[in-house]
Amino acid sequence: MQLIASGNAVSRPLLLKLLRVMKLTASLIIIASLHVCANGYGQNVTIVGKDMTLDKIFKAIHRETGYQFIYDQALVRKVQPMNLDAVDVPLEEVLTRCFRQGNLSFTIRNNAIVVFKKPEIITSPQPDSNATAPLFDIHGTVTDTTGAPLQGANVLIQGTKTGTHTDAHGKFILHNISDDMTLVISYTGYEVRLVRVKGNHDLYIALHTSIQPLDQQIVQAYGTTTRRFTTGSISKVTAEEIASQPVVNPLAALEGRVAGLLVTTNTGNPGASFNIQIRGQNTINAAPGGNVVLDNPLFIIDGVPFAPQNSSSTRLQTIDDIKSVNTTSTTTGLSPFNSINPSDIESIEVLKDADATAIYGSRGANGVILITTKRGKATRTTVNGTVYTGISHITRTLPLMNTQQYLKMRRDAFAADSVTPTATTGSNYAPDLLVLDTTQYTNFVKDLYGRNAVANSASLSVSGGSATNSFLIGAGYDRQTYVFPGSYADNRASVNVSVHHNSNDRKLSIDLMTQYSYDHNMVPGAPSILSSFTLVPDLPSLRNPDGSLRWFYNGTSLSTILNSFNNPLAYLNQSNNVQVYSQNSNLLLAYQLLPGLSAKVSLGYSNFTSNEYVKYPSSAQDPSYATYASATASNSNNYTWIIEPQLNYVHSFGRHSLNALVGNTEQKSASSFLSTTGTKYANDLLLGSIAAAGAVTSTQQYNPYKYSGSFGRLNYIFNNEYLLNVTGRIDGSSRFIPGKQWGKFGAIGAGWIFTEEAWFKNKVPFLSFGKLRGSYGSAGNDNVGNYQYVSNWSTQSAGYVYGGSIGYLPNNLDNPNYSWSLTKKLDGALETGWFSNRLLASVEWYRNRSGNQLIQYTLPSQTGFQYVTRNFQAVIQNTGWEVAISSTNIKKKDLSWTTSFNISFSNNKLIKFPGLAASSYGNIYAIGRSVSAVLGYKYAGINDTTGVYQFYTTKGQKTYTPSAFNKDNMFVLGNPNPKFYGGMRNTFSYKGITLDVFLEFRKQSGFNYVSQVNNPFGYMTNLPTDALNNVTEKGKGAPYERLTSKSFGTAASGVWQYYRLSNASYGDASYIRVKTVGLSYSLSNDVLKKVKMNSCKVFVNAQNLLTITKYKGNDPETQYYYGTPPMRTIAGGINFNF
Amino acid sequence: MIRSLIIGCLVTMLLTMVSCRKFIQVPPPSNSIVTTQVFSDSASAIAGITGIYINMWNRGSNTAGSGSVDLYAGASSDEMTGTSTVSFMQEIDLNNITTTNSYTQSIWTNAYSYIYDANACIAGATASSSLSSTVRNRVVGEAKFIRAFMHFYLVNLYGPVPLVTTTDYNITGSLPRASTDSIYAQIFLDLHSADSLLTPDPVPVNRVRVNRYTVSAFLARVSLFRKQWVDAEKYATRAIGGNYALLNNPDSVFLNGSVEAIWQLPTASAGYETAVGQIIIPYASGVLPQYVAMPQQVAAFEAGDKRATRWMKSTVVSGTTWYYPYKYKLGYDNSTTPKEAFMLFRLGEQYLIRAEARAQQGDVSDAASDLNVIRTRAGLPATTAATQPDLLTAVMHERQTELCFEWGHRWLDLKRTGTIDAVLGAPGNAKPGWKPTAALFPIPYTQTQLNPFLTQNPGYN
Repeated sequence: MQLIASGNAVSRPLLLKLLRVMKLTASLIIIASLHVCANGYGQNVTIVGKDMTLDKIFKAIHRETGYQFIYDQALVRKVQPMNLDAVDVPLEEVLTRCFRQGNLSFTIRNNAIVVFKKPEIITSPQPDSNATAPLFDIHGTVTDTTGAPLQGANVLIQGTKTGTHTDAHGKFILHNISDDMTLVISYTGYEVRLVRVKGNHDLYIALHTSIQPLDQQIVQAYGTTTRRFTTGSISKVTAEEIASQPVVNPLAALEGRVAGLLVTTNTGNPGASFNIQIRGQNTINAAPGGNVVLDNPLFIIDGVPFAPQNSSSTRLQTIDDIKSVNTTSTTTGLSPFNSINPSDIESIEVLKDADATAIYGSRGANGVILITTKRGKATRTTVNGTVYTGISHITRTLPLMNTQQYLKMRRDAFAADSVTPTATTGSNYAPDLLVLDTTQYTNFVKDLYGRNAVANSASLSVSGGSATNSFLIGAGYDRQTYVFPGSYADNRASVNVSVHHNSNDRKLSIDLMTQYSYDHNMVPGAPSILSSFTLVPDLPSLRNPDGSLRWFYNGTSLSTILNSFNNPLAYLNQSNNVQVYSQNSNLLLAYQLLPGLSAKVSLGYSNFTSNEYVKYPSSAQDPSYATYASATASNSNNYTWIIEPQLNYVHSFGRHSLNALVGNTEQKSASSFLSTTGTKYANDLLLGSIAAAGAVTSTQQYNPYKYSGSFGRLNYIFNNEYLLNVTGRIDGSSRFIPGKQWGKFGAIGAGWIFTEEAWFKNKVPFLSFGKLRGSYGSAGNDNVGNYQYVSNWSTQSAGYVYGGSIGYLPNNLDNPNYSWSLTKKLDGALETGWFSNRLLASVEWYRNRSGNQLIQYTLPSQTGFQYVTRNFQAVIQNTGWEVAISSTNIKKKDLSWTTSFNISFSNNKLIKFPGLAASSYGNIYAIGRSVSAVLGYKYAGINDTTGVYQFYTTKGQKTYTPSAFNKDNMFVLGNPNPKFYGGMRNTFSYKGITLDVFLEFRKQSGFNYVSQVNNPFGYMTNLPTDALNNVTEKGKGAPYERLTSKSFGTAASGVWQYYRLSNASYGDASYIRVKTVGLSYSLSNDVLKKVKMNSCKVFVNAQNLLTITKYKGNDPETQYYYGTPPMRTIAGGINFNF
Repeated sequence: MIRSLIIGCLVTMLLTMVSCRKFIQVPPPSNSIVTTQVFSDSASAIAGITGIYINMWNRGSNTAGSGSVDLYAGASSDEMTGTSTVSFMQEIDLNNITTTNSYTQSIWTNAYSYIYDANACIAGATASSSLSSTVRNRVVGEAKFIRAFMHFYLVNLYGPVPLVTTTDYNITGSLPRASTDSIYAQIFLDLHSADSLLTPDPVPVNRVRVNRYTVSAFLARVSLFRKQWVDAEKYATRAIGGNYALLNNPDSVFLNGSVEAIWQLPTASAGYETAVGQIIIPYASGVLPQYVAMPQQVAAFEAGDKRATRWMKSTVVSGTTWYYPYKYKLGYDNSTTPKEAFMLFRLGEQYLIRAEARAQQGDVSDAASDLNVIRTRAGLPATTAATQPDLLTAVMHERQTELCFEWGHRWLDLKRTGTIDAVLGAPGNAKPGWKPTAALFPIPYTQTQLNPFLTQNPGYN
């Protein structure tokens, strides 16, 4: 099928836009009926019937041909029902016949038939001698809602093919216009507008951003694009989606929402940190067998790199410092993103492939997350506010044994060992059976975690303005308490200001965005509290009758009675008082030098200061040991300033559209901290003052980091059909020795909107949009510490003087030869829109290969250090598939149902590793295997005679002691990386009631709670009731071996360490979680008008409502037996706008 | 105004493009100094060595420097036992150490860390052109001593270990075990070199840094272990000739500045006493000390031995009487000056070395008189041993009581005299599961993983 070309300046894209115009004209309704076959324009149809309305006829034609009809119901209803007797008649003829009445006409464009009222002048605006209306010229300006001119907007006279483009000032001129004409103005990313001429010879037209998902603006590096025209892989999470969740940290709002983005929370405590990863781990584990250092994406807020990135905002110990106890955790401490109020965020874009990230050069290797804050709009002043309050409590914990069950287990354990428990210290010492009062019972999980925490949130913003000046001022306050006893709480106050100005000639624009927040988190200081529920259940009460902490039992130290006893309430007396001050600001100056050419300078500053104060009172310490009252004050700061001058050139000519960008980055960041510890306090009451300490020591650090780069991007679109995007960057980093500092990165991306092809059109029914895109390119990484290339020494702690001399010690093994690591990314995607884009679906494949690994290469201790920074010629490959679907299933006046779904499959593999066998990694990695694979022993069941676990050797024999030294005895237990993960959101609206349900799911494996139990079942620690399923209690066939009272020296205890690391304690940790359920009721328009409000909504939101999993442990996401599992929060509130 | 803004933009852009190469230079680190600066002047160069001493004290018991050998080698033998039920401790008590035992691993890791520091000082001071020869000799001499000291304990605890004499990780990262003989050859080489580089300290005696007398004392110890009796006697005699004296009161021996001390580590941070004291000394009644003397050790003291009450203390917990090491009597106190200091070499040991060396050479009477110096201080009568074998037995017994709870002397003595299986494996000894392979600690598991050329000791596979 061919579009009609004409001699005028009307191009096919214009006509396509016309279609969109008509489609979206407010009163038009899109036909939702579906069809399966269509043979293209010029086909014949058969329709026979009596008294058929046009509506009915359209449906019939649609069924037969697949064409959709776009029309104004009011027009069509005027046409009387008619009789049709068309057998194998050309479609056009049928339509012409139908449209004889009512003065209707039609055009066929794409896969749609557009029906409109025949205008006076149909094919040409040439003056008609018979026309009565006078003709004139018309001038106009097209802008967005902020008043910024839109260049290249299409202006078309409705019902004709005549029209023009706007110039660089957004201006256009049309000739020979009459009063009764209507102009159709369209621009990519904006809603189409129809403007009646009606005597206006000078038009000023402001376009609203599109609500069509395909044409909505998405933020990309140094600019914006749309889903339709991007050649890169960018996913967007909208403010609406963020607002639907009662979360305080914006990272929490991303969980399960974006294909290819894996977000995992570390604990359920307020302020907890998140592991964030885009498309898998690109870096070799720095320490074989140790804690994994996860790749983090680059975080940018309004164009400015967020100063702390995703590092902990605390340096001193908090309850979330679980790395020491949980080796599978990688990020610890508190999340710096807790300083950002989610309600200030307009959108979060996740940049994944080379095309989208290469312009960030060295920083884009692990993907980029762009956070864009809310701006003022050119509207009357409006006030928007949300207030909610809710309660949180812990979700899954394993039920623990009560005293009765526990004591029975212990007695059985002694019996199984054939030894008699004794009341005096020695190898058969059993104080829990013979010394303590066995009638006591305390449920420590309930006592320590069982309370409800309270969450409160309030945010209010005022915005408004004119086309030249607009503003937004928002403020928020959030408070979340902890479940632990005591007055622990996280409080945040935040302010967000955005100001926009345009000069009257619209050449100069100024934007200032700034957020400031203060977060005060009073957090328990000792992570050890978490393991305290392993305490034996018959412990005496933790407080003495006088209220003081209990340390002795009948005159004997409890730490002597129960080895390594510590009173958990004492931990709660050690708090970390964390105060975080965060500021992110960006000033954007833009000036139009020439039509199409503008210069821009972005000046950014991000500052993140964290003050901590930890008290360690002697009253919170066991008097059986030396008590050291101490207090530590730590002040740490991260700041980044960035200057990015840019030149941007936009030009459209004919069917070509060009957008070129060059720019420069100068960035300086520094992190510093000063931590001062006071000791030798005369009295605990003085702990609030470091100055009152008897002795003071300090540690200090300052790490400057400078970064410079030049970048460019060339974007070319031909005919709205062929897309090409080339980006490049040269980067220099101070983290490398001079001579190794510069790296070059670049990417090429291309796209083809094949549904625009004449030969393709209407070949596939209902396919309204189809794009193939792909990209290839490289990005780097300089993510190592500063100054690693030079050997340096530092002093011992201040105040350490030995024999009259201070001491120096070497800090590092120096290696001057390392430089940028390089990730090469290949990406391909098919993006489609169906049924007039009511259903959008994309399938994407990627392959990232990271080479020249820049790592802290682990060395044996005999070198004197744990590691050296170096490049390493290993290559890690991440491949994966990502599917994202969003659809509007039902859209009626009172009822709507939308669904969005995403799923990601990923695969991580080591594909190259020269000299693997001889390296530190020889025993952990293998070519072709994931670098995250977990190795362990192969479980061979319980020996029938001894009742003890057995394991397989390589030769298939069963043994009790599968030596770790023969690496062949180690088997791959599994891979903790999810096989697939994703989320599904369904939103149902009926009148004012909206139900929003979001499910998150993961298919993954992991260690269960048994692997985190240090001693064999039967030893003197409390255990989940699950441990009762052992051979001693339940006989042969029980899953756990016979009990033993000892941690050491019995057959059953000897195999315990192997069992913990075997496939028997590793298994399925998949889950489906009802992550968010929101129910809201919006007041009807009638009521709103009465109270003069734009909107008002009351809601109840629930987070983590339900988790379906077979995981044997507390929570399948955190997989941490001793930690606080994610909280279930139920909150109710109100949102209003007036 | 707008025009100037444009110009401003363009100028900024141009300037930044021009300057970016210079822009990314950062100043040298502000809280550390580079190697060449360390060895540019004498105070810094000496601070380089001091850093090792401070670390030997500061890293507490988890170090080859101050305490871990005392505790872990001590608990391995029949002198003391750890009361903690932490499995790592129990493994040591029962001589059934697993390869992942972090307690014994800490000795390995820290010893090699000090060896690196020593090698870095040797390389830095040797390469420096601005140091005076006196300072250079002192730095290199002390560093070589420390290198030898660490290798000595590594080879005695782990058997043949990698011999590390350079800082280059490309070389040291894949070193296999060296032979015991070549390790000792290097130890002697380093000590003889230190002997020539260091000068005896003038009065008042410096006890906190290695000096020529420390070298002599160590040469005496090493010679004894290598059964080089003549050298052992010679070097012990030289050490005894230094400005040291035995203290009459056993309670004063381990005090800071004790005249008996040849090398001791006083605290570098006021308030904290020795790591061993911090661990063992209980802070309240009703608390079981973390280490207690074994019955064999308690029984080893003869009646009337002052050391049985001055260097050991009893406490009653839940009705049971326990004896615990009491050479160091303090853990933490509020004084600004250190009261006690961690002992590495002292005069008492030198008398016993010379007694043994003389006895081995058949000089029975001189051996007996050396032995009696120690016995007299302990409030015991002169030895009755008169023959060479009797004297050797008497010296070994005296070592058991004089050097108990210190530096694992007992553990190493049993090994070097080849009596370990007979003593610890004897029926009735508290080491019921004794295996001859337990005489060596296992090579830490992670190390055999990280260095594929490192083989494991027998009995641990």
